[in-house]
Amino acid sequence: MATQTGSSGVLAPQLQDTRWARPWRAFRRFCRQSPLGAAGVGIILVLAIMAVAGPYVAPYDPEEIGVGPKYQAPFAGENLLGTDRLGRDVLSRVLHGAWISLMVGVVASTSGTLVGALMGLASGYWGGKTDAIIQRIVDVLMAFPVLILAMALLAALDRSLNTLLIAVAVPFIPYGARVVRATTLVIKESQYVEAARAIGASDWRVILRHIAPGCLAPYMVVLTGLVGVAIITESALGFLGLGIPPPTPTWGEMLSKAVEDLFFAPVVAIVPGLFITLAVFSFSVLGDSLRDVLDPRLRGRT
Amino acid sequence: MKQYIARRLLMAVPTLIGVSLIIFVIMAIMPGDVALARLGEAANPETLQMVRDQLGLNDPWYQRYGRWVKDMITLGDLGESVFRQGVSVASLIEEHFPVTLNLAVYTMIVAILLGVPLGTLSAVRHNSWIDYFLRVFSIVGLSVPVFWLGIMIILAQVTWFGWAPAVQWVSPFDDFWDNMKRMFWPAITLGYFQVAFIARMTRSSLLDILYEDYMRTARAKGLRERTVTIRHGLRNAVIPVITVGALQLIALLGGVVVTERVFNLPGWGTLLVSGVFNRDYALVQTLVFIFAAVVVVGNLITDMFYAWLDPRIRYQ
Repeated sequence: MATQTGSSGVLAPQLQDTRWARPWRAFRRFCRQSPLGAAGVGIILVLAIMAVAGPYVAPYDPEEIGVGPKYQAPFAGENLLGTDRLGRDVLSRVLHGAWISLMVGVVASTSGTLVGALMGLASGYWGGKTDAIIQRIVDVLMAFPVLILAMALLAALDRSLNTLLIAVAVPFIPYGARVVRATTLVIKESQYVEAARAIGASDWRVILRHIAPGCLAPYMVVLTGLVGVAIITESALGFLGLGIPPPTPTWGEMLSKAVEDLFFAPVVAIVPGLFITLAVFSFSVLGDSLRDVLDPRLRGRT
Repeated sequence: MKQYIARRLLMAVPTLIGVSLIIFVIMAIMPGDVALARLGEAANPETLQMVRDQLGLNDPWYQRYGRWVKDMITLGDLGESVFRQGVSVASLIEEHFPVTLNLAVYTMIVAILLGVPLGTLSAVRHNSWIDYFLRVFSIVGLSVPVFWLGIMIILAQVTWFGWAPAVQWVSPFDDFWDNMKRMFWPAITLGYFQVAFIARMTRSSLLDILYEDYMRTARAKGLRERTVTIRHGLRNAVIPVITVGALQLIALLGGVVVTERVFNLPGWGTLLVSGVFNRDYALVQTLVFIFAAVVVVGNLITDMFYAWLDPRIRYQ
């Protein structure tokens, strides 16, 4: 025991020398200040491992029909979580579905808000006509409920992974634009931006080197919360039958047939939804905690 | 105030025009030929051309756009549904409207009747076990997907009470209790998120106010704690709750779509899903526009209400 405490004591000064020392300390402080946020990080990590490793540890091919009897109950036969209406292994489908659901959630919300962030930077920095035009676009996009805009886009596009990503990403553009524009307006007035311009830095250099880093924190807070919304949107589309076409398993798609099979295989309805809830929960809790930690004014308000 | 209303109304017009243009562009890139879909592969070119002419598909885009906008403004028939021939889009939308309105109204009632009291309770019993329980209750409510909650409710009902979602919708004006029986669980399903959201807002808003000077004064006057909380606290606390809550109720529109699908309710959501499935552009473009217009008008009303409550807003 004594050696163990000793070793951790030795470890600390070593860490200070590496480039990860500061982020690591910030992370430890974050965990102390916000245990719930730390729990969110933990759940996200577990889900991420599941999404990446799931296909390798899944006992069966998720798309293979008849690996067990139809509507096999969980824990009864060889299939741990039982089988669905086509005799496909539920556990394997849930593990494979994790990848699509989480990937679409993260990639779509990130790319959508990034496009918005660029618009926000331009809008806030140049102001005037640029601002007026971009703000009108943001207003217009904001008028659409996320799911309904995604549905409209899917009506016009083919059904594939790429179009699904686009359909889920576009509704998030205005949310990135709003928060980044607001922050840009504040930072633009600061003295170091003025100084950078005085020594002749170009507009884009000022925006990317001096303004964008300052927008990162509020942007991350908003993005983290929106990842959860994107996961819900993707699974809602899957549930409505508008997601990635079958037989590819996703959590939402698994639920789409679950209602009809409620009598025979309730587990098919329960498990994917639990994972969606868990994923959304962890991202929104993390988003709230980040906001509390990064913005002391709001501390304790949520 | 009049000036403020006029300004806000004027700002809503370009937004609505933008919304209609975006929808029109999205529908324009929709693949497939409506005439071909109707007549089948075997149709001869002349008939195809005739149907296209009839539907106005050969007109330039600005004419088609103009016709659509004119139809919406004058409440025209908005064209024929591509998928259900001989049925006008306007009649489909009208026919499915009552169900969605019914669901939305019940959900709002659930959200306000439960959200505000629960949030108040949470704030007043700050850091007690009730507060912790209610906070967990709201965090869960914000995370559970509406459609999964609906499925779980149906599962519980079917397993324990042998109840199954009704096949048909009954108007509350025909049979109020029957309507209640059918709409109760859908409203709870859709309302849980709203309740959770409003409870959270009410709690944080009221917590800010509970320790204000005027609250202390009210207590010092010897008023009962309940009077202080409700008359002096809640009254001030609900202002931000109303505005943010109203925005949230608008966001409920996406939830309407999935809730209707779960409970098999023949409303706008179900109509939109079938329209998207069948690539019925005439139906989808108008329905999506209506959803967006509800949001724009809802925001407008919320802003005006807020300006009426808080005069400072009007002069910004």
